[in-house]
Amino acid sequence: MKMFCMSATTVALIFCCCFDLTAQTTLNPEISIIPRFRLESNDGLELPARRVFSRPQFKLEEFELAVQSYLNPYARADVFLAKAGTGEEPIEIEEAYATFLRGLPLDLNARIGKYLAEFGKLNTVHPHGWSFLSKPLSLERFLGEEGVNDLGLSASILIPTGDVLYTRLTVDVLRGNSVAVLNPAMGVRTGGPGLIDTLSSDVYYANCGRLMMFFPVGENSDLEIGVSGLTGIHDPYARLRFYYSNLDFKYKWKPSSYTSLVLQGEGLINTRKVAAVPGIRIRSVPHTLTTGGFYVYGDLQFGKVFSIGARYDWSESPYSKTDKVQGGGVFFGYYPVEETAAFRLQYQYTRTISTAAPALVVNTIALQFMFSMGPHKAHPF
Amino acid sequence: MRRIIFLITILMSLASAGIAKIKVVTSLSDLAEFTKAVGGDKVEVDFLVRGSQNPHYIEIKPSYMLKLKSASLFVTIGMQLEIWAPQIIDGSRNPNLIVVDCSKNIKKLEVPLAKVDASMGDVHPLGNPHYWLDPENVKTILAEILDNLVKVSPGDAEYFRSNMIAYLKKIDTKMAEWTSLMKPLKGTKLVTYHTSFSYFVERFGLSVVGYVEPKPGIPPTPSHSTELIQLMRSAGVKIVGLEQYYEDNTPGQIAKIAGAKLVRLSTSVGGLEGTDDYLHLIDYNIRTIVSAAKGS
Repeated sequence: MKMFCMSATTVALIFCCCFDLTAQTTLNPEISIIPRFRLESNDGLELPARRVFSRPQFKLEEFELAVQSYLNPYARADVFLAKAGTGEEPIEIEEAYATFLRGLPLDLNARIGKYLAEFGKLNTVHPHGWSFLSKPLSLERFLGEEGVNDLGLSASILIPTGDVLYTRLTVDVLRGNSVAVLNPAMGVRTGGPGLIDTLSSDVYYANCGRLMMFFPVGENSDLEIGVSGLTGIHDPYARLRFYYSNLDFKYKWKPSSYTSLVLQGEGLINTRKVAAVPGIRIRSVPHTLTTGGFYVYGDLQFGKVFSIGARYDWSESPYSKTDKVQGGGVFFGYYPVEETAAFRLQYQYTRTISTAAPALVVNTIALQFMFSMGPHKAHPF
Repeated sequence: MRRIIFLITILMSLASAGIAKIKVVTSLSDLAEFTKAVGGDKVEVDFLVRGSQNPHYIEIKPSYMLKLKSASLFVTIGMQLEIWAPQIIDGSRNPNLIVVDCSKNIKKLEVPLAKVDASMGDVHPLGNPHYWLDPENVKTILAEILDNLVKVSPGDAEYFRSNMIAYLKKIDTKMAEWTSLMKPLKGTKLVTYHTSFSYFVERFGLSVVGYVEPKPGIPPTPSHSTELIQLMRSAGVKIVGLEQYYEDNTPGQIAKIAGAKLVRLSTSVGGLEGTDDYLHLIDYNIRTIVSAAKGS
């Protein structure tokens, strides 16, 4: 991720060039800003000595700047810059890609750039589009905090399956760096499928794909089911590979603009070759490890401006069957004026189980406020 | 054997006649009716927004993309009513899709004269897009649909034109009846939830003096409701018109306190019972308002 960082000065220069005062307004891209603020307290800092909630921390969780526009009649571009915190944290290119929408054979869509790959349902949704405040634990452990977000090339095709069933296949070739962010010793919040030292070695491409099917199940309800796969090299020295298989679903019932119910979940199975003796990779006969994780949540919108939901998480580690985490949470949302402002309150319970240490339970309470300026498009279903 | 060949030929001709239908998708159910009226049996029409739904806020579903995938025309209201449409059009992957904007030749109301920003609420920068509720505007809409159907199937131009004329005759006949029904109500003041009926009230000489929404698209607030009640009392407003997709809690309370009658009106075909087609839709709205005015 650091490779994509740039200074605020660079960004300012880019914008000065883009927004020449003489330029026609109609040719300017759409610009949106979505900052997320968070007030959070948890009781995990002084464990196991004392169980006491910490002094609430107020922070700028992330500041997202979206610049989106058609490039020409055939393609559009989307750039998302993000900065966490109000201090020296770098501005990062969260996503920057061009999508070719028209003019390709078989009505293919192609995408090139740095983007959140279509692996599962939640990976492509930015956090401001979630109903909850924290990433599901299984995705955090297996995909890392940034998710499958890499430089790559993607192609998608609609598979003809009649007038009712929408079927789309997406395949990606990724540079593979996004699978290189895990230091297994650092715990849940720095999860990811690969090893950190991949960065210093050759490039090992990763491949990703998702087959999604969408169909109405009633006048007011729809169901989406997706099957995804991701594979890459997680250990460049021993050239050990991992395979992720993922099944996701989303059901939405929306009888009116005042009421809706979402049920969504994802289950991931990880199969990887790992060194028989940890730390000794060369001349060590690897063995196969299979672990997994899942989350499921429900979110009920009522009275147009309120929502309430709950989520359950369970996950093993990418590298161990005995290192487990389970959790649950409830969340409440208040959207006073459409999607321009939102308040979310969440209580999260996280229990980490490991053979090396006693089980650790952490309770977290967080309040989030965010607002949205500009025409950032709604995420499809 | 000859008989079998003859039957196969007949079946194949019927099948090819079926395939030859122009597939049209419209954003609103009203536009679907207009397209069907012009296209007759040469078109196969589907629509995205059900009459009971608020056309401003539609979820972007892959099933909508699928509908547009095989369509020749996508008929829209335009004026940014369907702000959700570009994502569906892109997602359809249909390079031959013709997007029809029916607002092109409409005389637009409430076009902002100054820069529009979010402090004004969800103001449409190109003007109020609810023009289809003025029956006179249907003529312009039909002409736009006709032009585009002719583009797709020039050979059927005369057929489409005669269908359009027949439908316009129906509109004209009903228009005389509606005008006569509404004549005694000229100048009647009413309140509506949103700015959905601007073209309708302009056509029939009514006057909307306020809205339940403090600004377009912004939910009602207690202070605005209080001001609105005072305004209704001082202006003698006796009717609160509520679009089919809004909840009636706040408008009901406002109407009750101000001594007015709350009536449900429909903005689209199929929005309420008894609005199965456009003529019935306008009929329903007019008779509801007339009845509420008489009752008061």
